Amino acid sequence: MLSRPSRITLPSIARWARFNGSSSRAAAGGVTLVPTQEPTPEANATLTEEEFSSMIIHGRSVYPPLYHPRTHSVPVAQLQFRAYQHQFLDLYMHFVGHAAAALGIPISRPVYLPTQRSLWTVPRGPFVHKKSQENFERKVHKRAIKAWDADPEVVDRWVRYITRHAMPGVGLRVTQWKRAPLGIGQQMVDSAVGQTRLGSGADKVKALAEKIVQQELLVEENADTATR
Amino acid sequence: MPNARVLRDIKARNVVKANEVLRRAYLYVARNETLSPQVRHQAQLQLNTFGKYTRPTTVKNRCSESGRGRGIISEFALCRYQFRLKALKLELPGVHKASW
Repeated sequence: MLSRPSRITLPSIARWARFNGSSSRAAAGGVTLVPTQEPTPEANATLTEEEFSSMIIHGRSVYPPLYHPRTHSVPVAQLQFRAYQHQFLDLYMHFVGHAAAALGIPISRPVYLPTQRSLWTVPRGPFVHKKSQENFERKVHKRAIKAWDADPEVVDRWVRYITRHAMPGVGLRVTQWKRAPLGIGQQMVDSAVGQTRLGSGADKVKALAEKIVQQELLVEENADTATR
Repeated sequence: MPNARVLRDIKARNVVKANEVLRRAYLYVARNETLSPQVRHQAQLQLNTFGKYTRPTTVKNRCSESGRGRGIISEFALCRYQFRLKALKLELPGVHKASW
């Protein structure tokens, strides 16, 4: 280990230490990016807790997160974040990125969706005086992060971790895409057929309407028989 | 104690909710061109007997603070002056004075 790593090499060391972990180092065949440490397959197998923790560069959150390369580009999840202030959002993006990096989930950079701006122009006084008004606005800042290739369970854990350490004032919407087994469509249809939808008023209305029609026809018949 | 008009509006909302399905059924019969005109007419007459609070047009948005019927901003359920007072006190989330 370098006694006092220079500012310039620190990010590269950090990246190497974090993400060229013991398993991938063995697979890569001991490729060295930093001259001081030369990992060997035997050494990787017997890595102690002290050795591993000494390799971790603390304070890595100061740097932007590592974005893992996509293995198959199969989209797995999309997270959409909304907030009234952009500072909290950007801080949360940084955190989310680091969490994904730690879990090995390939994600996109935060995508800046268009900001929604609502404007209200309102008279200052409670009565009349329309010529003096005041403008109020509300901006909704939005960001989106897309995730690829990870296992659904890993994505679930990521989302759970993120929501447990959620930023106040930031809302999150998660869209997940999972693989379903063959015949899932038929299964869903079969399970839905036996059940009635709660709260769909259309069937109730039609049933009532039928009853009303019967009643009216009866009334008509009685009227006819009475007049004859 | 809210405004008399607010109370009327609350009553209207409750009654409309209770009668909505019935009203729609009668409307369906009255507007259905496949049925005979006598049945449709009967249904329309029945509809006319319903009270005014069953009609959804009696429902009107009112300010939740002052009970004002005009100048309502639906998102906050406030009239424009109450909206301004709350916005200046920063009681409405995300709303601030605009300048650009």
